[in-house]
Amino acid sequence: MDYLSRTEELLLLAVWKLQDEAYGLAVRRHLSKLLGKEMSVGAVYVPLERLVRNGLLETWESEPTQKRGGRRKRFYRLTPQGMAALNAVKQLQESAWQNLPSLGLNLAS
Amino acid sequence: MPTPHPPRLAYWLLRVGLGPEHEALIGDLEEEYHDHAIHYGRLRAALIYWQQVLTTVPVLSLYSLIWHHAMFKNYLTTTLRNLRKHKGFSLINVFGLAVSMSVCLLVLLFIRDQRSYDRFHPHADEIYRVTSRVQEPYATFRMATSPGPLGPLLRDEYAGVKDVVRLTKFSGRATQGNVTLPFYGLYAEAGFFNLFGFELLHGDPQTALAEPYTIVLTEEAALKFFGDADPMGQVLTRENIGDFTVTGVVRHASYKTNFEFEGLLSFSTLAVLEAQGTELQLEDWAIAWRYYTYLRLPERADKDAIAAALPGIVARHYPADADNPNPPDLSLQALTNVALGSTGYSNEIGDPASIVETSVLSFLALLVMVVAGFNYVSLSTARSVTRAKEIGVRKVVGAHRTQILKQFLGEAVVIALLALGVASALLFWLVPAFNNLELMNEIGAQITFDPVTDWSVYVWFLGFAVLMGVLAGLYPALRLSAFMPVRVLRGSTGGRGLGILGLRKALIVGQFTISMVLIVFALVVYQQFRFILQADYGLDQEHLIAVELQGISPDVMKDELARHPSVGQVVLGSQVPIVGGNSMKTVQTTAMESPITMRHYAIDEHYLDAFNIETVAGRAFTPDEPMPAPDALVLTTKAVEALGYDSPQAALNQSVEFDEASFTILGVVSDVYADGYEEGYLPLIFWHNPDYFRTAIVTVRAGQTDAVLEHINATWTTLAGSLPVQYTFFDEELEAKYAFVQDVIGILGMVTGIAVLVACLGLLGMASYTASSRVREVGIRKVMGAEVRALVMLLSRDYVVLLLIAVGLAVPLGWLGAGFFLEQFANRITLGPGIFLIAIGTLLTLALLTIGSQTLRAALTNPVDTLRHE
Repeated sequence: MDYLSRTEELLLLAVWKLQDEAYGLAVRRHLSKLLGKEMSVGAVYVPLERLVRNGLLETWESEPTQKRGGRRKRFYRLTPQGMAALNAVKQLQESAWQNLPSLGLNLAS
Repeated sequence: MPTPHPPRLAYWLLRVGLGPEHEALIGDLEEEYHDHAIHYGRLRAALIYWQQVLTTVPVLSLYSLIWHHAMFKNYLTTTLRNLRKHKGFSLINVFGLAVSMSVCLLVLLFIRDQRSYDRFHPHADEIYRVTSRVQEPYATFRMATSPGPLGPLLRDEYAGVKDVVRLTKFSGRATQGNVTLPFYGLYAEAGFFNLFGFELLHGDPQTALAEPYTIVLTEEAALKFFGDADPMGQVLTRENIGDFTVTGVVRHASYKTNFEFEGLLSFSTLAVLEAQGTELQLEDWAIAWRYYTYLRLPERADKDAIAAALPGIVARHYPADADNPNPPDLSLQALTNVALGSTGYSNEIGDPASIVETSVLSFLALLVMVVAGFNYVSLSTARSVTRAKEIGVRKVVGAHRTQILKQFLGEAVVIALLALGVASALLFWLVPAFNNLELMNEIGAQITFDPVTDWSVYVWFLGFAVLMGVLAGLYPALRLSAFMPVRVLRGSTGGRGLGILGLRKALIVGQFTISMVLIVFALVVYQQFRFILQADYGLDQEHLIAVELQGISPDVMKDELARHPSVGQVVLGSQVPIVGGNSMKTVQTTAMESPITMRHYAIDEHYLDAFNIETVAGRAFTPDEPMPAPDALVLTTKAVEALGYDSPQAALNQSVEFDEASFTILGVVSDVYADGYEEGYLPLIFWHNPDYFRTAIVTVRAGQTDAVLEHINATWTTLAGSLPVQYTFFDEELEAKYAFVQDVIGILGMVTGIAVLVACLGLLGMASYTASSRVREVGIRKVMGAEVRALVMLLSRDYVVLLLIAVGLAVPLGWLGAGFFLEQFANRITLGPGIFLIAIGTLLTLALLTIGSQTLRAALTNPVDTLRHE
């Protein structure tokens, strides 16, 4: 299978980390904080929806609230395929980083 | 606490733009808005909301457009089917857009070309130059240059500054062996090749310009002086300056740059020259016109720091006893901003296009585009009736408004893309025409358009076409997607022809107002320039030849030239009047507090006579009387006024400070058009100083031009050897001075033509539409006995009213615009009703012919054909 792109990986991890609170705005805020720059709406929602279409994420909806102008939240949740894809990148990462000559970085920290 | 609502318009845009499948996202943005409103206040929250909406809608709608595969195919099918079905409409839309688009693309290419200058330097975006604004009592100058000592000071005292390089221009002649040729270029400091990206074919970039009296030649200059021989280590002699050793060769032609030179001389030479007594103001903080200071500032913070420090640096070092009490105001200009970034500097280093030229071109192009865009909007909304059923059906089977919206936007984009294809084809014909313009020669630019290798242009073009499609399609799309299926499917369509839509009327009025203002403007410009070109300077223009002295002794030249029987007379002077350029000097009377600058001509005793300049008061320089003392000045009447004397008599024998010496006014002569007829009479000083003689002006006896030219060439070869002779005919110079006029008239004429053509195309479409939608009404009226003439009137009436409104709007607009244009000229035509009558007549005739062709056809239709189905 193809490996996830860096953005996809970050999005899936964000959804995993936020667990029951993983809706669009929360994911966007989380990533903005993580990357230290404001993420645009398009940069988050478009790939999120693509992940849904590819079966790596699934969605569920909340009850509408007043604060959201009476709109539902659309929550994201990892599917088993999503989990598998994350695992695959993780393994790839780890094996790629193995047995390298020293980069002069402190890998322990 | 009441919950604030996000900005209504942005909210609406978001909802219409995204549709129901993005409900959650709309909710997310609203939630964020509320949080921001609490943290930062409503205003900031609203701004962020707007920004999110504007960046989100295009991305997401494009995205969903692409991903809805099946529907996308369906839209494409309907679009193409519609194009085929309504060939007339499609043709008008595509053609109108294409013609206007080609003009816009041309401007795009031009801007792209200008932006490509000086980008090849490795750190082009970190290079700046220091520019000066010099405030003098009588004027303010913006110059691309800065005081000489600034460069070394920046280099020594500021840490973030890298590679400071000073440059200054030179021109003159150079000799190698027995070849003497004109030669120009720059003195450049040793760091030149570190700062800029020019690479040496031969020589060491680090040391090439280090030593005094070294020179780096361009390949072309090396060929010019040394032929095929290796120039490295050879010597080139600059007249009156010294011998320079060639230490490098650079291939200048392969770089797109505003740094123009045939040779680079080492800057260290200037210190030697100054030590020998040449005044070069290397250390003078008060002289800002001589040296260019370029530097590299890799860090943004350093750039800001230097920009902030510059005023202080000058103020600290500015000499208290300088003539001008105001120190120059220095600022940094990015190298990448030199072209298109400024309104023009004096002492510019190359010939970059100024923002003014570019803005005017862009404005005209946009105007044409607007007219074509209006066509699309009015034709598409007019067609809405025929599309109403389709929309109704789509909605009934479940299409959301956003989908319809996207469909029509998509259609507009498809039409724009078709237009782009036609426009690209038109470019093949337009680009060479544009390159031939005098404007392009002047700034030394040539735009290229190679559709195969130049693929990156298409990215721009496509972006432009899509943008045009979206802009033109937005209104029709919003309009059409709002149809209520119940109404349209029951058969009540959205009004006929011009009826309900005020917008369509407004668009037609807008188009014709723009067209008419353009016609008026083009006519005024044409007449004004023709007026200037036909000016009578009272000179025998065809029989004046100016020979550049180029350092040959004026008297010897004059005697030799005058020897030939076909030569009428030879006069000497610093320049030819009117076309000879404007050199200025300061002048001050005892009554004045500060000096003013004035044009001056150095002339011999025959000059005034030869150019029919008459004596008004006192005496002038004439061959009949002995030459007066060298401190004598002759003023024109305008100069007398400018110096504040009450009358020519009052000025006589007064003493003035001129060229930093004391002079006495000897006489006053009649006025001269020193800078062309359009500027009117200008103040001018004549004086007798042979050091300033640059030109020998030869008058030719009628019909003997060839003989005189032969004589000039022969005389020149005897006196000057291999140096090329330079002579110009007065009438040719005059023509060259006004060569840009052809451009202005050409561009304006073309733009006007296109605007009128496109507007008429739109009118044609609208008229044919009204005619066809009222075909039954016409049939019934005919059966009842209406005459063809009455029917034509009936069908045309609406349009005629609109045209008259356009005329009513355009006349005052045109009057103001043309009046403003004419005010720029001292001698100008009077703005009469004639021009307006011509403009109105032309436009109305064209428009009425357009409408008439359609309405007449409708009125002539046999009612049997149209009413048979009832």
